[in-house]
Amino acid sequence: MTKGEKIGERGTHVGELYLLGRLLENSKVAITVVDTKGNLILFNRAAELLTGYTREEVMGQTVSIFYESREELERIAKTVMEHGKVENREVTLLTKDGHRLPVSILVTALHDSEGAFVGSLGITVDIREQKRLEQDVLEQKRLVAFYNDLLFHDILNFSQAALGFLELLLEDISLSEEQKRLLKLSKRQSNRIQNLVRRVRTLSVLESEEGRVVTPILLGPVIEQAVSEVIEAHPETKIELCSYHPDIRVWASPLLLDLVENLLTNGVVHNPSPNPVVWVTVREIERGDEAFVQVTVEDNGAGISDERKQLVFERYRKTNEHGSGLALSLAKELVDLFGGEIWAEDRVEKDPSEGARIVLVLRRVWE
Amino acid sequence: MRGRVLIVEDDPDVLGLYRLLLARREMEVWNAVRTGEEAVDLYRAKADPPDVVLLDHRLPGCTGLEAANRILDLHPAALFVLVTADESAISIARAMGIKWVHRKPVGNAKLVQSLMQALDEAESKAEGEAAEERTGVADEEGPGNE
Repeated sequence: MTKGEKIGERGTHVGELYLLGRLLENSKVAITVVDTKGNLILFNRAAELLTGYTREEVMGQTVSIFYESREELERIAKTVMEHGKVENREVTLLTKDGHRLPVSILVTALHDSEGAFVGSLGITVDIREQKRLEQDVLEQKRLVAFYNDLLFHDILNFSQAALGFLELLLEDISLSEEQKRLLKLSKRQSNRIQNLVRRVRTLSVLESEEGRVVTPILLGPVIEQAVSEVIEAHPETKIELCSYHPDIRVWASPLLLDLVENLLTNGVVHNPSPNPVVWVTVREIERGDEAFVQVTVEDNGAGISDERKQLVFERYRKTNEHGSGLALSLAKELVDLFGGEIWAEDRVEKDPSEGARIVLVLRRVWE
Repeated sequence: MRGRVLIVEDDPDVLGLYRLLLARREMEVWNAVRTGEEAVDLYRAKADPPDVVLLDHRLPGCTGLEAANRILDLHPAALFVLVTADESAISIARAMGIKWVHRKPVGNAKLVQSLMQALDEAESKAEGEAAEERTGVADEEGPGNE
């Protein structure tokens, strides 16, 4: 017993060491300790299981036996010496039977009570399962992208022939009114398929990293193109552009076109009026120091009741018996991405039956 | 019959539609092929190229836009109307300076309008070239007449 030490203290100290030893030995993670020269002085049971080496085989050897490249080991040692530790570094270890094992390591420098470097403690975690899952996720993503692309492309391609032939048939002046009506119905369904495909495509682009990049976009040409495409798909509809600011740029992505098209199409397809009209107004507004652009899309359709005014923007929620319920929820997702706002109002206050007004507020780019 | 259109489209139904539509609008189908390579070969082989190329993008072999680039190398005045279901091709086509770019499906009226505009441009280019040639001939002949 050393001077000044009490029996109870020594007993506690020994007991703690014993517990620590048991803990190291029974740990599920591989724990190793090396001295200042990199020679192994501790190698627990989990380390044995992980590497295939027994403690006797590796004690006194340097950890380089586990590394394929000496440079990797030198980089780790250098970081430990300079920063005191290496955290969550993914490396490949060589097992006794020559297999390459992906692991994550944590190495901490050990110092004595004087602060002198005495070695390093290493904790090694097998990440084979994690790697396999990561690989699976990547493969699934690649497959989904492949199927999406194939489906979107082919459906739109097939629609080209279907739509074109339908339009040619409709030119036939000998058709009865009933035959024309049926052909127009077919054409409408074909348009609905295209709209759905486009929306799902927008959604999948929105989920990707590149689809989430927001840049300044000139609003005027986007609105013009959206109006032209919607009129082409729904020639019976009148779209009136009430005010127009061709030079305004807003913070958005190329998906802005899909957003405006979605809002216009929504005003058209849910419009039972014999003379469907959609009015688009672009207005500059200021709130405090910030400038915004307000785009309102109004229609003379069936309107949106008060209880549905918020629900229509929720994803996967069908709020009427027609359609996928995707148009406005997709619009909301896009507007959120652009840092703007969107909401629904009555075109004529307190009278939803007179049609809906969708208000879209986008951040204006200061020129 | 107005104008000469080369159709590059691998889907037989879409090709059938284009043939019928062009015939109804009295436009001449100069030729119809299903790959970009065949289109390039036609430009290489024939001295008198078509007025406009009605082009798809996703084709067997090289893409429509790759074919367009190779055709432009051979014939810089070539005009294209691109109709594609490939979203990524649209911005590339615009960056290449292709004026008539449509997403599939495009309605017949819009497609015909684009083809007409392209044919008008081809016609005015041809007239311009002819006038230049005449001026060139006059210039060359000029000194001899003096």
